[in-house]
Amino acid sequence: MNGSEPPPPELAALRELQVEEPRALVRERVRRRALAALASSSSRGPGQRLLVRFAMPSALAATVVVYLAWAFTAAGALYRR
Amino acid sequence: MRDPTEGPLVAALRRGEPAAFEVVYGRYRARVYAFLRRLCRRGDVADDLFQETWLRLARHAPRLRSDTDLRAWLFTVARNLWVSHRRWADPRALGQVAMAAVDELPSPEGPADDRVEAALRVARVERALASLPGGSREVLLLVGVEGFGQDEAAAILGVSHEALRQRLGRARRQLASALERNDPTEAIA
Repeated sequence: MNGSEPPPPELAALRELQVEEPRALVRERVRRRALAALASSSSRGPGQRLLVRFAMPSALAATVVVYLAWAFTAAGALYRR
Repeated sequence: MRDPTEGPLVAALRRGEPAAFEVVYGRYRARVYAFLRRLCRRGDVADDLFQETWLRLARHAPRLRSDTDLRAWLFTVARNLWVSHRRWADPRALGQVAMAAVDELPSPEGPADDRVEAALRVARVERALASLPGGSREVLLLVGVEGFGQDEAAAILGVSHEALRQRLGRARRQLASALERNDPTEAIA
């Protein structure tokens, strides 16, 4: 199918379908929440963004590694006893 | 294809300008909602996924690439949210509700007035579309209803061009056969 060919009849039938607006209540609620999220995300400086994207996941990963190392050492010590 | 007016809009969104968000919301809101509504076949789920799609855009706005195609971006997020939802929801419950939703659509029978006839034709297509499997529905909605090119639709669905072509061919055959099954003139004959 390319631009010069007419679309096949079953696809042409789909073009007749209407777009559907969400209910006014949903539309307004989503708009309000999204605008609040936009304000909060754009008020974060580059430092804060780096913290969220890299520093916090790295800290979490390091904590998990330290905990697992401790757990294996402790389990090994119990086994040797 | 990307709308040429979107460059400044994306730049404004990246700066967090509410006016830019209002323009994007006004431009794509109904299309994204209709896409989700037909994909989910459930109003409550469509409402939730619609909200999450726009919240994702708002949260992600400062990190948007300057060459972002907003329409494709929104449809990709909406479709991925639906895939995640479908993975976690109980498929048996979804199937039951989906069949109930198909039954709620207007039946293709009634007086043969022009406007009524057009409405019935649309209802017949809606019923046929709603009866298809999710994978076929999503490809038909993107290419047939939203008018995305095959390359764009392949990118949104995360599949190769060849896979998209095959899925589209299969979906078209399924739709044609569902339309035949729903054809009131054949039922009378």
